[in-house]
Amino acid sequence: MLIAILYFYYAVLLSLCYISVRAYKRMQASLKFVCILGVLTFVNEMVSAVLGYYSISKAYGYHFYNIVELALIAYAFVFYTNKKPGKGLLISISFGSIMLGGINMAFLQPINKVNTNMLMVECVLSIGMALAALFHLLKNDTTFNIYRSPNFIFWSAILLLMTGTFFFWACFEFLIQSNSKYKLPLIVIQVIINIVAYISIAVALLIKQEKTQNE
Amino acid sequence: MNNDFPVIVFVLGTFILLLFAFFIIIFLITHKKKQFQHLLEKQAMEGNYQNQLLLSRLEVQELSLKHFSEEIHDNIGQLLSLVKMHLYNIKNTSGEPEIVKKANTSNELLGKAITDLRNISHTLNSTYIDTAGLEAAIQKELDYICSAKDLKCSFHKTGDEYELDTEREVLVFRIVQEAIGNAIKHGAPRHIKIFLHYSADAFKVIIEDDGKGFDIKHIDKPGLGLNNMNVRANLMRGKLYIKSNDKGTAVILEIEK
Repeated sequence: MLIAILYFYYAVLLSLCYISVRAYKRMQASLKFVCILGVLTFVNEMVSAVLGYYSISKAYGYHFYNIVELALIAYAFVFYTNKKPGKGLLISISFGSIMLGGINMAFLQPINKVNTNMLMVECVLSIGMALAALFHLLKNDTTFNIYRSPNFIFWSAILLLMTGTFFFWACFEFLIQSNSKYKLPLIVIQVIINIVAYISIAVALLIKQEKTQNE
Repeated sequence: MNNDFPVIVFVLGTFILLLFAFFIIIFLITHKKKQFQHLLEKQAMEGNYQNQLLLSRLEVQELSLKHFSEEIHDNIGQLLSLVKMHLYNIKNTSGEPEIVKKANTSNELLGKAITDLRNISHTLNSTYIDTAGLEAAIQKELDYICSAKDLKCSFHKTGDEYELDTEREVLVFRIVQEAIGNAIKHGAPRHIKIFLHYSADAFKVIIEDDGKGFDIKHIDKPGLGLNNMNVRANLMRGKLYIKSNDKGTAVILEIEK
């Protein structure tokens, strides 16, 4: 069952990658970063799958991917909430992400170990950004048909993904080491949450954008 | 039990966080829906206010027209009738053939002026439209215009006739009046045709002329006449189209039965 769900998950990521490439040109600045995120996520999962196939630790890819993922989500956030973010802010985001990942890699979880600390920090920061982006949408966005707003769908998906996976990373070490009968169902639930979130992001990128005041 | 404690924490924590995320998303959707509803209500209120304003303006205009009509009929009309009576007396008492001839000519001209004034008075008065009916009022307007401006006019009717309510009849008549006036003023036509088409679900009026026409796309700002026609059509929730080329213009008004 897990294998079937995983294959479906990869199919979803492949579709997201294809949609991201196709949609990139017509997207507003903030959603361009989501397109890049879509492509990178697919590439990272494929790399992890190949590493897993050759019995090499998947953690190598995640260490670097999570740094880029956090930076891309933060870029999408600042470009959505701020029409012209300053260069300083963008440099700070890049520097901050590299610092967080680097510190974790150097002092807490080495490169061959899954970077759960970084993942939890990323979850907390992303939840904060998603809440702030949704608040911004509530206050400033003039899109009234909310189902047609790609920003709403994207940030809702991020909120869902990060709230749904935070405790998974917190309990990851335990789940992997234990022989709990709940281990498999919990992993399946996590993959399903990922599938739902990435399908939502793909849908967000498929929507033909309506021009709003803040875009 | 101890072994499963982290699993319980994981499941409960994830559940609470997901619940929180769902709550936020549902709140956002509900709030946006309310915002949208509020905007629709605001637009409807603004629309109603504009309609009321236009209605008041047209009512004032109708009252003024009625006042002019009554003045023409009761005051000028009476005076001209008196003049006609005096002319008649002059003709009868004077023995000079030259004076009798001039009095006769004046009498004829005066008679025509009185008839024209009566026609004007009728078409200005909405009560007349109500009493005589839309068709008769349009016919009368056409007769007067054609005789006064030396134009060929024709009136056609298709479908089974039915009555519109008085307010709509007055509005339709004023649109027809405005369209005829515009055609004469700007198009210099030789022939004006009016078509009334009664169908089961809609009533259509076409005012067609063979004047020089105009380029609709190049009207920067519609004049008061065109604006009034649109306003009146909107008040009836009707549709007003104008088609024009160098062979003439057609104003088409369509309203629901």
